Amino acid sequence: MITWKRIEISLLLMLICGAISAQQVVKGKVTNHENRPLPFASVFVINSSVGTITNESGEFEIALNFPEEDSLMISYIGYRSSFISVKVQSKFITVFLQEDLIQLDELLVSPNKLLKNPKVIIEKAVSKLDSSKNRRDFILKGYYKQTFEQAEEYKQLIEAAVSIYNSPTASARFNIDQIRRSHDFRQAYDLQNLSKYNQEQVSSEEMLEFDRQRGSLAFSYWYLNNFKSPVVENQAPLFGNLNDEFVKQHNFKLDTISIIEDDFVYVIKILPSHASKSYFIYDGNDIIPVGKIFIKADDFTILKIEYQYILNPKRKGSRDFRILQSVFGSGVIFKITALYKEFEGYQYLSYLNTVHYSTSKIKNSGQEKRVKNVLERTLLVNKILVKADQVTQEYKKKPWNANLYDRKYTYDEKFWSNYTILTETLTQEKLRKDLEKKAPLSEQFKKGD
Amino acid sequence: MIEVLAINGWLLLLLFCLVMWLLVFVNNEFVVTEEIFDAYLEAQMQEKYDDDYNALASEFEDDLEEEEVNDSMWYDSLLDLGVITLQSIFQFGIISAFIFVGLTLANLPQAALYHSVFKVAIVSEYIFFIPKTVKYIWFIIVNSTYNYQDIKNFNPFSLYGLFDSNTVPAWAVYPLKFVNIFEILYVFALAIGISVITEERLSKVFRLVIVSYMSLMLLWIVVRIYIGSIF
Repeated sequence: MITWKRIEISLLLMLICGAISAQQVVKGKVTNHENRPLPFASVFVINSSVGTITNESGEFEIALNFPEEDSLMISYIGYRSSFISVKVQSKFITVFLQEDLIQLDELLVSPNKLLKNPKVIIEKAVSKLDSSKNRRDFILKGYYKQTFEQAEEYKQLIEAAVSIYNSPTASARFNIDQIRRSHDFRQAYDLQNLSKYNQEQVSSEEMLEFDRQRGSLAFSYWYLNNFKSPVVENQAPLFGNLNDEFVKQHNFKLDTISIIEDDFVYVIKILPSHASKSYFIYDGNDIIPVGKIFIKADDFTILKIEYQYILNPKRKGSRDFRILQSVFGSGVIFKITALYKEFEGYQYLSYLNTVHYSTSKIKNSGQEKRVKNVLERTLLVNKILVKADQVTQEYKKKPWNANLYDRKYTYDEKFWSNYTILTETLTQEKLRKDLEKKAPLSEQFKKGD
Repeated sequence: MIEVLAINGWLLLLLFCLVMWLLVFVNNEFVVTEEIFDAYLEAQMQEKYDDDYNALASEFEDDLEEEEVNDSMWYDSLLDLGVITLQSIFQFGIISAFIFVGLTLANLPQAALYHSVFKVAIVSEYIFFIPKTVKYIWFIIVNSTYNYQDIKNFNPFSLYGLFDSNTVPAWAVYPLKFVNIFEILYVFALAIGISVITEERLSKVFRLVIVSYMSLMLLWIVVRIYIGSIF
């Protein structure tokens, strides 16, 4: 017999279930005991691939499905990891990480010939890459952000939720799941097309072609150029530039030994050698590659790479140095940062960031000036699908369209309010708000449809 | 002109290159000095370089090989002379080719052999030493407080000098600089020289030289504007 009581009980049960199983974005900050922020700290749900990393100010935000995803692990090289339970009503959590001290007598048990020859460590890490890759199909889901900044002003901002399908027997496939982007106010790259790109209606094919002509700015090309997934078994490299050639092209020096989760971490400096690839066809020794690589001592898995091309500080007094500095607007020409995460026995990318610096000549009140351009692109992997049925289901329902300028996307406010993104720093927030003054992003998006 | 054209062509070329080399030396040492150029680079940037580089430089500097920083090596001057020579040969060669084709199409006498036209091109080019010399005298002696932009904008004998440099669009700078008194004198010198070697009337030769040379210059100006719009 239907009674109001039964309906009430059903409604109450639904309410309880809704309250118990709720998605919520939790924000936080990770600092050390001196309250100094820790950038690029890993924030992951325990026993899950769901996670994020902190920004330069140590801040993060993560979308959690309560109650399943209520335990976080926060880790940072050189510090003791922290495990915290997050309550449903938590809006902001502050995490203090304690510095971890290395027990040197433990370290001395390791073969010390490795310590004397860091190149061998790198070689072992590179050869380990192959064995640590998942040889089944999997999908990386992540947040992609692309900004073009000129004279300290955003000219373009794109944010997208993306999926990357990986298979050992097929090419990687890319899909733009959701997107939010600004009008394209870029002028620097192609002054001839200035008037064209100030018009509202530019086709997505034109925009994509425009970006492709200028160094493959399409998302899929960027990912493959900076972090190649294997297509077939014998194709190298696995992680972008890291292969045998990379080892031959650089010198290495052990900088320090750190620790993470009771494992030692070799911190090795990447230095140029005579075999280093030039950034330009001709630049002599004026532009050199430098960087750091963080490798776990027990199994040689790579945790992090920072790699950049910079003006050679040893040539600081030369005229060429000064000219190049004015051409690029910075002593750093290009930089790439990649973080890796272990999940269920395999190594995956968890974060990829590239920054290109350049300058353009613009005329300002009749005076020609050079302004600095910064093109920054970031991918934050916030979930990894590895179960066969999950991957198959996800693969079938996606159109696998990697076009960032496809106007058929509609802005989904509900989606973005419950999605893990990389937290903006104060500077980035200001730049975005200044861009939005020209037209709110949501309005720009509607106009483009 | 006849006496000059009687001089050996290689000697004329060598003399031209040596004088040009001397002027380049004067320009680099006394006019566009390190201080002037550095100040120009400094003024170009609206924003200063970030601190990221300084942090990286101090972190890695000690691990890098020492580099000898010496902007001027002993062979740089010889390289300059070599570059000037090659550039001059190419330039005179192209100009001579255009004029020679014009003369051939006009059925002018065989006395106008290519090497003769080449010599005329070299001799006529000496005219352009005058504005360079005037410029250097101006900045070294007359107006010694100047910046790099002043040097770039110094074109008193051209159409460009009649305009406010701030109002001239970027694409128009080179064409306006190109139209100058010395360019006109150069065309006259070419015509006189060709008239001498072909023993033709100056008026007839002048028309030919104008057409040939200006066709080349028009093409050159278009290329310069296009390249300037990209970089």
